[in-house]
Amino acid sequence: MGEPMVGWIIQAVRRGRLTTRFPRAAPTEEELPPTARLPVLTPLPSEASRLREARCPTEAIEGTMIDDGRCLRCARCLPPGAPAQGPWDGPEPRPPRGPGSAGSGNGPGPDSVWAAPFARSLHVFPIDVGSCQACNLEVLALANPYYDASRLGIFFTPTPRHADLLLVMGVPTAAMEEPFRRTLEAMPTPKAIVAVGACAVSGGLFRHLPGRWAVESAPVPVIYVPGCPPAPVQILAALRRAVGTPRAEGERR
Amino acid sequence: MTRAAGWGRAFGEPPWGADAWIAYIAPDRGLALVCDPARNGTAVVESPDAAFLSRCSPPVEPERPAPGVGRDREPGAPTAAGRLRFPYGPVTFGLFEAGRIDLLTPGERVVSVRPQAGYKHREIDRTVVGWRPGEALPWIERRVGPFSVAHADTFLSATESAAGRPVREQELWLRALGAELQRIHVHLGHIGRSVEAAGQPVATAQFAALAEEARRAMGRWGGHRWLFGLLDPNYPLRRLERPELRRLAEEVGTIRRRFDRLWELARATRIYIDRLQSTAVLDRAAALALGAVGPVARGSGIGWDDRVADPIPPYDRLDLHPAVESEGDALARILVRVEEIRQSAQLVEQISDRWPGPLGEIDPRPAVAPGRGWARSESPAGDLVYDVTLGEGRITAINVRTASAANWPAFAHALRGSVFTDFHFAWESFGLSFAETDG
Amino acid sequence: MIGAGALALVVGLVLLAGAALLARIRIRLAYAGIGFGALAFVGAGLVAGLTGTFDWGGWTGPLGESEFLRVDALSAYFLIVVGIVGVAVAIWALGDDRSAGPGLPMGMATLLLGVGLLLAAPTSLLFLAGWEIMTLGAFAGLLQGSRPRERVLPAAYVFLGLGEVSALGWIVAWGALRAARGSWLLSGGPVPAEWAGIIFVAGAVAATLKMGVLPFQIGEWLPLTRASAPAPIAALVSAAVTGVGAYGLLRLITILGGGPAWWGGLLLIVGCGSALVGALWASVSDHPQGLLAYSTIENNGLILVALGASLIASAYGLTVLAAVALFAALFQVFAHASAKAGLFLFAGSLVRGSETPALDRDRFPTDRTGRPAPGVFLAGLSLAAAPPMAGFVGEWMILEALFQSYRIPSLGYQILGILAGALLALAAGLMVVAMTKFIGYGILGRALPRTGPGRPPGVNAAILGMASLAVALGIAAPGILTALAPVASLVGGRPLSAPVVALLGLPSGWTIVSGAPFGAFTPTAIPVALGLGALVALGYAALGGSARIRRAPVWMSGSPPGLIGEAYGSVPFSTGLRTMLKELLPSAAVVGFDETREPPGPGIPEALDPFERGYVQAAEAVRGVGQAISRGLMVGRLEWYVAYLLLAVLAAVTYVGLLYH
Repeated sequence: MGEPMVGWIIQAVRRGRLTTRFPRAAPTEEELPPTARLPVLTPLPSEASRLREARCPTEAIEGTMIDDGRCLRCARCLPPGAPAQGPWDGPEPRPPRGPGSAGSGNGPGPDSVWAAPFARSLHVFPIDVGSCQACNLEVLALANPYYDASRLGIFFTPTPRHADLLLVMGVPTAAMEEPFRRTLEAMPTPKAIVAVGACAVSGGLFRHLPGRWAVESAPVPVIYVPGCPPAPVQILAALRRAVGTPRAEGERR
Repeated sequence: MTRAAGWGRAFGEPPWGADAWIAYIAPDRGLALVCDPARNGTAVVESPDAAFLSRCSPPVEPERPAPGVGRDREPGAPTAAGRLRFPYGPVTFGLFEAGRIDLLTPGERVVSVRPQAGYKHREIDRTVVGWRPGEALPWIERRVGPFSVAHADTFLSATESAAGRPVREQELWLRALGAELQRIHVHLGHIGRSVEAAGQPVATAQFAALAEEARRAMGRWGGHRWLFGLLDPNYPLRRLERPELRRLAEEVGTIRRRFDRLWELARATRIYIDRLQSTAVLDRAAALALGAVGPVARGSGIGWDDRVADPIPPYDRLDLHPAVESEGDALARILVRVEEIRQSAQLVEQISDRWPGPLGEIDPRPAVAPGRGWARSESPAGDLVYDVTLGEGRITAINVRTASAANWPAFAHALRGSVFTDFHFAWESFGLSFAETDG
Repeated sequence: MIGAGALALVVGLVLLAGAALLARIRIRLAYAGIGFGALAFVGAGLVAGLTGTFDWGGWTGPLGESEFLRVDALSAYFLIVVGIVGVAVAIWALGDDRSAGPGLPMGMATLLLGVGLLLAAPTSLLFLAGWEIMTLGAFAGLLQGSRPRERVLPAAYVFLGLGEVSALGWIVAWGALRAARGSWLLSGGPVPAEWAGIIFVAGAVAATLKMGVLPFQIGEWLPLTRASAPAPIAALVSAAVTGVGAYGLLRLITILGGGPAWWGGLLLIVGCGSALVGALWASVSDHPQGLLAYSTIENNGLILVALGASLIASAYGLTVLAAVALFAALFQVFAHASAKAGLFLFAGSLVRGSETPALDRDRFPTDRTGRPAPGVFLAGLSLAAAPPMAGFVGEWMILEALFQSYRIPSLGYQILGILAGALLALAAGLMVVAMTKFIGYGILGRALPRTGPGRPPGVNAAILGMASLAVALGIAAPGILTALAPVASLVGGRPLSAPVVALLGLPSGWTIVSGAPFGAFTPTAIPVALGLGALVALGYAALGGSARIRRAPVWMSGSPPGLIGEAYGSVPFSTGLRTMLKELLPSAAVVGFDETREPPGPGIPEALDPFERGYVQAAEAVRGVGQAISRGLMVGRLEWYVAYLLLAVLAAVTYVGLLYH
């Protein structure tokens, strides 16, 4: 039996265009599952509110305020059957709560990381510092035909030496702090970090690990993408925001 | 041959047959689980004695990765002239996980393989101590995302066994449905990445698209693309009504048909099959001696599948045969995964069709000791064992023997003698996960 | 009255003889004597080159000849080459404070003495004497190898044995010449055709034996690797002695005045086979001296190919092509000698005192690589045939000559020429790999400590000097070729001018051409172009923005860089080649090197020559025959010996009687 090259081509043509129109159009409901949105909490009497706070595995709730960085979007704080309704793409990503973080000047600056946009050629090096693999595979999903990050000029590199952005997934464990620092050092300037997922942003469920401050205490600008894991369009939106490309139609909230 | 971790092989002394093996020995020696293909079910040995352990070959010592610092300081044995020890990891794009594999090579062939896990140790087992099982679920699920349902399922079954608490049958059907969906998704991912390693961009894109569709199906049905929270009884987003299940079955059917077409093409792509054939061969004897589980063992001719050997509802009502190949090379393991995708798709359809309405409750497995229970299930990577001790409704001890931890020695053995470029075919066909190993 | 040239030559010979004798008493004085003796050789060669052939003699010798020493253009050229190598080696030895005992200068001096004698020999007997003295000197030098005696001695004996076989070849050749011409003189009238074949074959075998080409490679690599020869001897054997082999071949051609095309075909086949084999083994070798020895085999193969092409071309009357090939062969001798000597002098310090020397492992911990590094780099590039080095010029001319095989009227030789060209190109590619390996692991890669005594200035000077010579030869190649015209004319038997012309606006004599017309090239322009380019780059850098440089540690997938004890060594470097070509390599280069065995197999083996087995068997056979004869004849009984005596007397009486009858 000969090589089925024609078969592959026919198969691809038959599937047609799969790629999302984001960011030119808003993401569809398929691309943004219910757990991509931040919950919106209704005010409750104090006892019920305290119970609700206790249900959150990452202690992200204070009254009706939710810490974006810690929220896993696990919907345990929501009444049964009620979907989350908050924004899928947060406003200015807030640095997470915790000692030694906010206000130390390591948070993101204005909308973009660099003065000149890297719009057509952004090279990203993904590093797993201690994730559950869900964020890893969502980041890899950016390469599949549904999202196709390369059409936006975003490419993965297999080595940090050629990278502009470091995509951090997972909470830095004790063993990975040193490799993480080495990776950052191996990147040429200008460089920035995108912390993907609640574990990287705030430590998430693993806030007790000492390495969890490694990302924010890095001396480079950091962009945060909360979620557990964030949907690929959210990661894509954060990458575009990181390089300061003008907002497209689908990115306005 | 390196030592097996947490289990070994029992000689054919009564009451076990010649091919019996030990699936799990608890670190405190309070529990041992033995599997015998000659008879279904798992034999439990409570408090195995020294005589039992001495009969095991190789000697059974649970070998856990050192928590915390991952072997950065280890100097390693000096190499002979002309060889270099090449550290693959912990930060590589190819593995895409944090873990290191030290390869000893004279330049082309891999002479020895030393995996170094422990880089992703997030202390999950220590964190959940003191929580109730329901509260501990988020951590258990996020030990390894792609297998979240299998881990949550096994964990909950172990706690139910420990607490002696019966479980609603519908919950069991739900767990099975989630597990089968994730099995499809995981296998699609491995096959897709093995095609990518063979340099087939069109095929890679097509398989990746299928994996994305599987994720979207899970997201639409279960409320989360990775089915986190699915097994939490209070999870507000899961949809168990019949129309939703039917829609899920249709989507999975579509995925299966598309996969059949893609696999037909991939199987005819000579370059791809060439790379898989005779790569990283693991023969049956080695698989048994090293304690391989899951698709790895089934690819080497050991036809053990927890769902068949130790069936709990709904598997006792569905027809399922373990997919077994005998060659033991990467192609065999990929073929096992192909067959399992098909079977899991059929199982999804069957489960959706025969979904039971609100039914009665099923008694859990009897506890080993007061407050101590165990459970096994077939995760997408293989046999998974949880051993949980509860005290006053809260977890006091938890031990996990994961499939990835079991398959490391087999991987190290099979990869020897391959060339570097075969690494990814071995890696994807084995389907190991550092996240699962470290926890 | 003795002329200047003859005086220089005699002084040189005397100095060398004196050095050999003095070596036991004052070693450094002996080295100085060697150096000055070699310098005198150079002087004699230069005088001959400027003023023409000279001789020295004037009395009637025992064989009726009237000359004792005779230096013509060919001898002069080789005197210059060998002399320069000798000077460099002497400077190295003087500078090296770890030199061996008196055996080494004795060997070196004897070797050079023998070479001088054979180069200036007017008679074949003196030629033979010189050849033997050279072999003995080399043998004595090889015995000074740094390995244990039981390893050195057999290897040195192999060299000696092969040297004697080559002497035997010369005996046959010159004996046939005597029978053909009736005189022992080397120069003289033409040779009758029926003797020419025997003379050529015997002499070619004898000469190529010394050059270490197929199938005699064992004579080249075995002593240098197994015996771990000291650097000066290795340099002399590789550069000078193999050059002398080329001299022997050239002298043969001069005497015989060209010959049928099949002589050239034979040389072509042997040459390209050796080139390929040498390059292949060099690229997978990890022994510093072994790699260079194989490279010598390859270069000598190149020279043979050039000579062969020249013979074929002149047999078919293609004078221009023949000239180009001849000039190429002559030039390549000097190019190879200079670069190879420099590298051997460097490699000597890499192997010293080590049981299993490996390119990437053995270093003097206190040596700064420092100063010789540019020399090693340039000399290695020359051997890798990179422009504008001398090696490139020679290689270019040889390949261009082979490209023109279409001019040969015979189809068979056309195909042979094309094949040879293709194989030579392959060999050249493999040599690039080998030299990259040598340079990379020799001077780059590992950071040596920046403190420490460093190498003595004499050592540095010798290495850098030879490397500079290789570069200078390349840049000044057109001029060198012009100077070689008298040599080529002598060998070719008719007046030849160097293949240099005026072209592309450059003055006459600066561009080398390879055909009529075919290709042209001027190596002199390359340094000019490089210099201009460097100026432009520097200017741009000075004017342009500043480059911020940040030093970052090596990226090892996130692992600490010092974690792994072994870097990517020289063995893994060639493993790809070794695996791909394992059918072509001798099995021991890939076997005994079990890649999957753990614990790992023994250290890096030196490649076993597939012919070695043949040699061992032949040697065993000879020994067996000898033993059988001795056992048969030496029965130990007095009666038999008396009978032998009687037989001998009878034979003598019969012979004398027949003579006078």
